[in-house]
Amino acid sequence: MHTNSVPKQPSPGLIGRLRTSLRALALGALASVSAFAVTAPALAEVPLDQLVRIVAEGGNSFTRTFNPFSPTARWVSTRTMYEPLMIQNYATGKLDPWLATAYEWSADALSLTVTLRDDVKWSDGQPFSADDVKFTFELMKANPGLIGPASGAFGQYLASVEAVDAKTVKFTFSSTYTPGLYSLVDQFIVPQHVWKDVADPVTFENPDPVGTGPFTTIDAFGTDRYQVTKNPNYWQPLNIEGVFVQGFNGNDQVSAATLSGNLDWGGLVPDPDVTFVPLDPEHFGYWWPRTSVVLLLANTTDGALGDPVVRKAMSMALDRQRMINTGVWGKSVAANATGLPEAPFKDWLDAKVIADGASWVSIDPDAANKMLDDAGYTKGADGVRVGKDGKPLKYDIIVPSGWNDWVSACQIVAENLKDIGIDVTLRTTTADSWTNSTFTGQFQLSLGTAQRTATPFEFYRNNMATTSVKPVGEASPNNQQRYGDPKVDELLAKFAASTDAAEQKAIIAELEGMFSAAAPAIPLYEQPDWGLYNTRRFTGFPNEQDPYAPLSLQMTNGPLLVWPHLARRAE
Amino acid sequence: MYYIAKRLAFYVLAAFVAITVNFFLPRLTPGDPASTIVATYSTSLNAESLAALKAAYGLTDEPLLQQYLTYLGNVLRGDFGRSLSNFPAPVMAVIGAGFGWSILLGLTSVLLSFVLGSVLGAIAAWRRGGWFDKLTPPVLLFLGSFPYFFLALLLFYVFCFKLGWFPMGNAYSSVNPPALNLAGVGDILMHLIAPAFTIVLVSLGPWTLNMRNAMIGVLSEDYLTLAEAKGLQPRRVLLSHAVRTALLPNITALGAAVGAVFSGQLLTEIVFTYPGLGYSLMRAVSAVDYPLMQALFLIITLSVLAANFFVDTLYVLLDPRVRTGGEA
Repeated sequence: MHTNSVPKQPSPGLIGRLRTSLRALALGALASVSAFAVTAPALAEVPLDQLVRIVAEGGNSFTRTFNPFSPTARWVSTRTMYEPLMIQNYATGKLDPWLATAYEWSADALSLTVTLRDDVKWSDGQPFSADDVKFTFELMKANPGLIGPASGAFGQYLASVEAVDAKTVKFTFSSTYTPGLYSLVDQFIVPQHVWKDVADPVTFENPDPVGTGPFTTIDAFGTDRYQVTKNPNYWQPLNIEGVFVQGFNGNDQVSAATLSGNLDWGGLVPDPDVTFVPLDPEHFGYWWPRTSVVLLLANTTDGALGDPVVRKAMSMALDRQRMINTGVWGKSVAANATGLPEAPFKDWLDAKVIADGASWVSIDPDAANKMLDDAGYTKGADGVRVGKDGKPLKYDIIVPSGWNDWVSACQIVAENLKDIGIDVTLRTTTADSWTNSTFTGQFQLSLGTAQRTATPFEFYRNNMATTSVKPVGEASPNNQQRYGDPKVDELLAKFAASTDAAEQKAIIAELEGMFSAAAPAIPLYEQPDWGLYNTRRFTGFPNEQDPYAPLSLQMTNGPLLVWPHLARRAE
Repeated sequence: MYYIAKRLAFYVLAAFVAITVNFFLPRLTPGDPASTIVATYSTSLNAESLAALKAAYGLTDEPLLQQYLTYLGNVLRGDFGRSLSNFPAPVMAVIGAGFGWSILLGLTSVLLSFVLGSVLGAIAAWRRGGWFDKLTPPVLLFLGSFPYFFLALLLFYVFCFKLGWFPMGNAYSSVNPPALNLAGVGDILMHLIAPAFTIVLVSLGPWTLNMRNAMIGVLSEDYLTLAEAKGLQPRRVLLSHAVRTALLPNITALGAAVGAVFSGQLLTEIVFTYPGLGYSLMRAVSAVDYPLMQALFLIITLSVLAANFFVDTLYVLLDPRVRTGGEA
């Protein structure tokens, strides 16, 4: 292992910068007294022992912002307050009915009719209806700054939304795009009777939310903690009173709270089999389903990295098992040649593509060296191969400091690639500058993950389609490696026009084959979704034996599936 | 009065420079707030949504000078905009939540170290050469040379996590802020002890040493010999004559020390999950949240200026030379 290790805590550069650029404060006692503008405690707080304690938000200066269209609003906004029509369940690979119970495509796949659930009410008692759905989508059309799963739908494929009757919504498409289903039904719906009077929905803080979700009552709210309790009108039975969200300032503090049993549902503690479960094997558990893949991205606009032979040779030099052992404590498997994770996409995977492609995603440095020799990448005097443009194969791999699993994977990449004459230097950066470099395509090597989606359509669009390639310098979260193949565009268009599952499956199989042939990204290992639980007080969390939903708190569509399953343990 | 007016004019100029630096400094760091936010919070956005988000967040490509003028106008009106990392909460709401706690922790710990350090230093100098004088400075310097962060984590681990004597974080127990009655204040103090103690422990050394050295200098002055010779009580000599003069360098240091403590306070707040501004500042920097960064830097610089102005004013009371127009 290299020893160019990463600072465990937020960058020392920051502290240095503060030291030099800041002077600090001493206002009079007056200021401190007035800052404690003390509000009388709200009526009756639900006692903490009735609430599920979770760690989901960093920070300690919480404000009452519950706008579900802001990606940085309070965590509960999109996990307990507002709900979508249907929820794509990445643990089961199924689309679970939620505010809607069914959908139907027209024969020409140009209109989608969605049937809403009966007897759903908003938390203020008003009935939920098709008008709310229509209103939400039109609000997003009028305000492009509202961010949600259906952002951009109107610009791309959606023509209109119609309330056929109180319980039926009809989406009319401007062009066939069947994957749009998942974006549309995933959209959080807001009440028309509240939001129609909002002057600017983008900057609306929504301090007193009215939603259809299980917990909509803000029972208590402090600067670094808040508790949200039952929606009196929730449409399905609940066995718990609400959630308690506490902000933490750092990973050490989260670990301390987790290990001492002060949390009921949490994210990541390192090596839980050693550090966490043994403390209380009867109650402490974790579940890390794998719904995404970690990819090594090589910028295809950068000389030899544009050659699939080089990318495949790089892939064959990598020790994936070592990455898994050091980065995620052995809790994963090496990725297959399609780039798709197995569990959520098991119905889509083509066994033949996986078998045929196995050789280029397995470690074999000798074969990799031979491939490079045969392709004419000869070694220079310093042992580093030289590209066809005369430039040595010397690259930087960038990774945000503190992302320890990825940093260790990058160290292994750098080490392994030396074996085949490619010189890689690890550079840790701030998360922000890393994002900037990768989004704009101004990098050589980097890691990435595939986004979680209902079908593999988005994965291949975001990694291989010319439509997702932006010029270097222009920011886009997708296709950072900038690889595009017009043939992929054609296949994706065919997929998008189809409502036939068998036909779609055949198209995806073809795309899988093209991915395995061209290696537009190098699949490393399946990324676990961190989630842990403590059943001393609450039972019913999903786990390996009962995988009814993901356990990740970060997903917007995970926690909603879990709340109805939780129950307070009898004393 | 002329002295104070002169100082005031200086501080107004300093404030203007601070406001200007506050605008340009965050923009020197590379990065793009909208991309960072999108990358952190959502993986489902395409390039088009990214552009819409930028527009909504008010991130424009206008010339920097024009942005600066807009910013100056907004600052004068007290409008700091909306925090990008807590969108759409206004910056002042984000700051308001932590401001009081940072002030409480900062003032408590600075004043405690100042008073405690000055007292210890005075005692050490008065009995110089005694066991107290031999023991105190080295011990305090040893503690002060500890890496701040490490000491804080150590104290957190021992007293909060293992022994459970103090709470593992927060500024009070309830979710809503407590009422300011006996129980509420007691609860707030209980949460204050561990973080404040850490800061005091680390910063005590210089106060003590400075006071001790100044005292030794003062004690050898002729007027002290005179005071003793005319038969004044030793206590009176110590308090009214020696300490009052020897305290002046420490008073000067007070204004500056507030700044040094704050940068340490940031770490203390993080370790003890104390809801001050430290963590907000760290998050603002890492999320490239320009509006929040600007407002925080501004508050901090203005507070330093205010503290220094306060010290300048205090000098008028403590040092007669200033009052009569001489230079201090």
